[in-house]
Amino acid sequence: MAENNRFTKATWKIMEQLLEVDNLDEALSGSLEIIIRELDSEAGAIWYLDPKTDRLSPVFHVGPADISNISVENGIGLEGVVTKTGKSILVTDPQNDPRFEGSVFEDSGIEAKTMICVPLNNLNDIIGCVQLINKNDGTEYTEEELQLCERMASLAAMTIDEKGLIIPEEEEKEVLISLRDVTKEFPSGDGVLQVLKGINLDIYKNEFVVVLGESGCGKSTMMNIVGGMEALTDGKLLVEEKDFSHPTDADLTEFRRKYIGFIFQSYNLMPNLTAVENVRFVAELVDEPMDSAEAIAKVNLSDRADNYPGQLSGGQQQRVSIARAIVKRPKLILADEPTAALDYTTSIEVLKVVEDIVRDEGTTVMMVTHNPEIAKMADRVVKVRSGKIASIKRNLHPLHAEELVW
Amino acid sequence: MLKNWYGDCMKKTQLKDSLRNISRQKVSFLSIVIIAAMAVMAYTGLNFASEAISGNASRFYDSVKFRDVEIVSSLLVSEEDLKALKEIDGVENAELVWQSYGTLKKGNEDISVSVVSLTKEVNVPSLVSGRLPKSADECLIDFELAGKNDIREGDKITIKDAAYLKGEEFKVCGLSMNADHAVNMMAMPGARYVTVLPDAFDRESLDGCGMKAVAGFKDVIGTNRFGADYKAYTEGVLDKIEALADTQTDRRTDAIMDKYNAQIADGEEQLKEAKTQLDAAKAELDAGKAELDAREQEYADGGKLLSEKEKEISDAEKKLAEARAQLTEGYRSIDDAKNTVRENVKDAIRKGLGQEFVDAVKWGSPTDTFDVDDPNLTATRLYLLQHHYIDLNEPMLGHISFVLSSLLQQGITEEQILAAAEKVYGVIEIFPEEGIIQAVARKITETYNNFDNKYEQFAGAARLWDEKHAEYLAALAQLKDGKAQWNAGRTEYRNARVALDYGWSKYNDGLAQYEAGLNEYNLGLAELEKAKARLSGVDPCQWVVLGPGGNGSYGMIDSSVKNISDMGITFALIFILVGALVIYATIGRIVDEQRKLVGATKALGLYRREIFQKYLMFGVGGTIIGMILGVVGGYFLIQPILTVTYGRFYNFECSHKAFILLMSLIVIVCGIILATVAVWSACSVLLRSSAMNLMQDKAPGTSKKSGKASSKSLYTRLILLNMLTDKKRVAVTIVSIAGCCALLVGGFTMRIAIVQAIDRQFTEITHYDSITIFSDDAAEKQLPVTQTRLESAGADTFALMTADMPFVAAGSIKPGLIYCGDLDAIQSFFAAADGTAGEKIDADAEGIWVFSGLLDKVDFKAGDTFIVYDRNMQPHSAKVAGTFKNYFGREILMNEKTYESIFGEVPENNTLLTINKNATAESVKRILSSTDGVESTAYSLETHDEYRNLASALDLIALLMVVIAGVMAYFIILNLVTMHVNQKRRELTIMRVNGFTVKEAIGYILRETVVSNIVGIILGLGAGMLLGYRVIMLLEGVGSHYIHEPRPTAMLLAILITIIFSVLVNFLALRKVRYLKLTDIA
Repeated sequence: MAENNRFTKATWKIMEQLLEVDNLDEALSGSLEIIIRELDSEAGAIWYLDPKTDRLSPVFHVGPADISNISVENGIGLEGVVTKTGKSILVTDPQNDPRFEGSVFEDSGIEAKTMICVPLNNLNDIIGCVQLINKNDGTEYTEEELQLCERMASLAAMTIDEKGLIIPEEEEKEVLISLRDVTKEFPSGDGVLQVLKGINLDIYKNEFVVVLGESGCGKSTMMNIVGGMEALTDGKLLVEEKDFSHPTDADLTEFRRKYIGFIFQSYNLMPNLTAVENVRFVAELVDEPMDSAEAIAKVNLSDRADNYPGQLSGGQQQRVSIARAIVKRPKLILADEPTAALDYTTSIEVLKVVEDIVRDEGTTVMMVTHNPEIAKMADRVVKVRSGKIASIKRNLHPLHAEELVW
Repeated sequence: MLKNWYGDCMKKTQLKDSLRNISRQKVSFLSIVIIAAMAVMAYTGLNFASEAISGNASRFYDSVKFRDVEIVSSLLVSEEDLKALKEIDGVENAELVWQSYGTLKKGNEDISVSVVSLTKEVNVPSLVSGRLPKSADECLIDFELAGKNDIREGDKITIKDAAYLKGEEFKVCGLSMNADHAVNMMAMPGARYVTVLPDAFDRESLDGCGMKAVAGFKDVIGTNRFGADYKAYTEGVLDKIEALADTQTDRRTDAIMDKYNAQIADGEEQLKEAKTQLDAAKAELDAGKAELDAREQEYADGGKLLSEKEKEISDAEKKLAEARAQLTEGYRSIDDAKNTVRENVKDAIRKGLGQEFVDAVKWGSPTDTFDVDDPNLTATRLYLLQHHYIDLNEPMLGHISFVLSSLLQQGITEEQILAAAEKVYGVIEIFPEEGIIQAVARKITETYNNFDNKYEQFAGAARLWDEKHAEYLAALAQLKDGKAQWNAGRTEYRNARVALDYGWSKYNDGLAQYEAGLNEYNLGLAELEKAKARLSGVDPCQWVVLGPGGNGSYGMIDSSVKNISDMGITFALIFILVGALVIYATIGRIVDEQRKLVGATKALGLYRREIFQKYLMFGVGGTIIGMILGVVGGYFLIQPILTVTYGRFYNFECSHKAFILLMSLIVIVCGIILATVAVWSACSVLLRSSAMNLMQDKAPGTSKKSGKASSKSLYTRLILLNMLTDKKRVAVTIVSIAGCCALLVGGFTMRIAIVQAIDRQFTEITHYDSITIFSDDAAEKQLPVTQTRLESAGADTFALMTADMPFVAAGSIKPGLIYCGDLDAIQSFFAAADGTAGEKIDADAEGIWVFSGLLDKVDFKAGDTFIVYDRNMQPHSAKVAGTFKNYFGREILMNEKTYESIFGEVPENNTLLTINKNATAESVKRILSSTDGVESTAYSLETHDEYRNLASALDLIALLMVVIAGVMAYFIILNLVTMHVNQKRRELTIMRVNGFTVKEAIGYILRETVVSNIVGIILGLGAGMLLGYRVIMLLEGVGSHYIHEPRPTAMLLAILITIIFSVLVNFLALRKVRYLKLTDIA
């Protein structure tokens, strides 16, 4: 009885999510999150079938695994079979289940123990499937849970049908940085505090990734590891397929010097250098930097180039900080709460600069923020919760900075 | 109380915040504590030590009632002088002292000692063991002297050549420590005292006057004898004594003149009387001589007569000898004739009677020996038979009858004889009245006469011989008589000679006595003239009034007390300056770091004073803790080290520690004020700024840009920019490093300048291996002998004259020691180089060459004149020929000509400089120690060691200063570098995050540190040179001159230490850069 009530409530929540949210992307990803939460699943994904290529790609996925760049052929694999056949599958014993031929999550370190995969059926076609894998409490999925999932999938399919889901053509993206089962522990008193508990994430070239999460969830730690500022405890960090899991200090310095540009919440400018000097100070580190004045011009600060940080406003300082980040022509810019200390207008100005950089310079930007509104302008939004990737959402239609409102 | 304080001034949370602020800035706080501790420790420690030494010395001087003044008079100190001295206001006690220098004989060794009379109220010897002397033949001996020469209580000692000392043998009744010798022999060499009762001196011959007087002043017991009060007080009393000296010396001069004029008059009278007596004696002698001459004539006549008589006797003796020879010959001829007679008688009997009758007769034998001088000898007696002689004056018949009669005694009868005869002669007629024998004899006689008819002739010759013999005997008797007479005459003659000789000897004795008397008279006359001349030339009486500083030991202690205190002030000034700067820099940096926080607290409504208290607590709190630790360290660490080090030079107990409460409190109060000022200076600007201003990022003062691109990388420019932007911090860093470096340079300079000066003295200047001074009496004889002995042993020697010669410089009398001789030849032994030209001094220059150390104390230059005193303390004017380079000693060089021109007398060599050369040190030592009349011998090697030993005390101070400066330097650099790294932590992290390597990040800090260190060291070297010079000048005395030039070694060491500390501290501090947490800025 209680179980029924729980599922009913979950169904209502999903309905509410799907019906009340204007943005379909959010509605779907929200629904997936609801069902994963309700079923206490380890991970889950909504797969969407591209009729042109007859391949399935994950539109949204939740959980520690990053399967953003994976696509499977329709009819192949559990996801393909379900999409192809339109029949749900409940796997409780994958080792002995002849239908189970492996999982895409396995590459991200999630070994399938139990699984649900239900088709997304609209009125005419099967447009994809919803997949849930493993339960956090180690139990197996039940038939009831399968039914709930089917219900959710039906609702989702209906909504998609109703609102129309346009999936932009996804290009094959080149991975810049990969995190695999990355953990980070800090000594805490007599014990150890595990801040990252197994992060799996790929960052692609020329994408704008926003990492969201509550304070203390590990998002900054993850970014610090990506930025070479902190060493991971376990797992792997691959930079352009090169293993950077346990680099020397010199390697890390070299990595930061060549690959990374930083934008901090507190700007961290050299107080004794003017705006342009701050930029030049870093430009001198690389062989082919951007012209410092040009970098300053890119952030629209040419008229304040000779001002010291103390003579600039917060937004201006942050723009200097951005100019300093881009002047090296880095492959990855890490921005840690760059607008946290800024007012809305200034924040938008700063975000606009970031947006331009991604667009014009082709630089990858990974921005940590706790402002969900900013996530709307990202290509992908990674949510971190309790040291794990909670979800990775692909923004099918990212907004421009000017469109953001909070 | 604290509760009230923070209740009034500080809220509880503010206090907590202040304490946590300290906790967060541990290194800086600790640096302030340690720097304050070091500065105060150095200052208080040196002052405590100075006070402790003066306190301990004062206690000793109180216990022995040390004289506050010593008066030495050129004409002795009389009882009257003493009485006048006692009447001076301020003088408590005064006593006369008899003193004489002598030689204590110990085995083969001669030890120079000063025999001094026992005093009761002033300068009382402190007994180490035994008791005070009770009789004139007992003595106390200085315990050091006794220990060094193994002399014990109860021993008997002999002291030779001590003028005015009645006896030479003394029994040691105790060992003592004399007030004059508070500093031990090692540090203050000189003749040690043998103390005897005044009765041991021949005071009568001195008219009861003493060689000197000593006096103690009122109210000095219990005071610090090295303090300004004591010195001012004694100066006051000394002035009165100086004033008294004018009166007393005049009186003394007059008294002496009167006395000796009277003595001269007496002498003249005595000489006159003596002359009369001498003249009378001369007349008597002349008369005696005339008589002797007459007797001599008589004697000569007697001698002549004796010679004549002797000749006569000789002639007579010759004649008698001839007669004697003739008589002997004659006697022998007669004796031969007698034998013929006997044989003829035998023949006659044989013929008349037969052989058997001849054989029956016992015939006599010829004469074997005879003596012509025998008065009984006669030629007429013939021993025909044994034992029976016949007289040749009788006829032969009787002789033959006698022979025939002898036959009867042989048992032959007359009938047998007759029968035998008748056989030959037939019957023999026997006449009446005739017996058979006579009848037979007649017959035989006839037979005899038939073949010998010369019997009568022979008998006549025998009679004649007897006559001549009688004549001879008479002449012989006469000669003997004559000879006896001559012998008697000769004895008389000889006796006359003896008598005459005696007479002459008496005469000669008398004459000699006369001549001696005359000589004595002449001498007396000359002496009188000399006395008159001397008296007319006697210089007026002079007093040398010696205050406490006139005592060598007191002077040395006073100098040590002053040196330590002066150094405390000198070093402390730098310590304080550096300490204040460090507080200023530290607080300034903390406030600057907490700029926004200060702004926020201001914005929150806290008063300026409330914010100030937080930093005040940091700076002043650290300073107070440091100062308290410094006072404790100064008391318990520095003070004992110094008192123990200096104490080994003192004979008195130097274990009492001193604590100067007032000074400590003043130091702490001044420290608090200084720290408060430093804290206020560091935060005042910020505290006056508005909260808004403070909360904004600090921008450099100007945004002016040249627009001209610099060739330097921004990284390099930024380092310079940082320094220019943060001038205050950089300046403080530089000054702090300079201060530490200066302290190190100062400390090392002090140490090296002293040690090198000592070494230079004994390598560059003093080339002789020993200097031997002979006593004035022995010098003339012993010096050349010793010189010959030493040169025979292979040593080089140089004879010269040395003498103490006080001189006036800078208004006071300074001790000087004349070296007078051939200034060219002395160069091999004592290389005196011109103080200004640096070359060998001009040996023929007119004037005196003074040691260059004086130049710093007195502005002497060539051509100047100054006053020098002779041994009678009479002043003479002397010209300065120039200065010569010398570090230790107070030698004053002059040639013989200059000496003569100044003192009006010819110098007499009394000193021998010896270079061992080919002789072994042992052989030289053996020769010198076995030489009589040696007053003292100093061996350069030992003197060098003694100087080094003495310097070790100053060495220790230098070492302490170096250690303290070193500790300070370490903490200053640690604090500054830590502050710098902390200050730049964010920038460094930004750099690291942006890809700067660890090396580049470290270089960012290090370059500034290197620049600051270099500039600081350069400035420190300059300041250190000045500090070192100042310290050296403080330490120098009249007889000690150290190296003034900067010591490169000191600088190198200071640079090295500063660099080592800097490298060490930077190494530790900059390790932080390597481990910077890059995520801190995220």
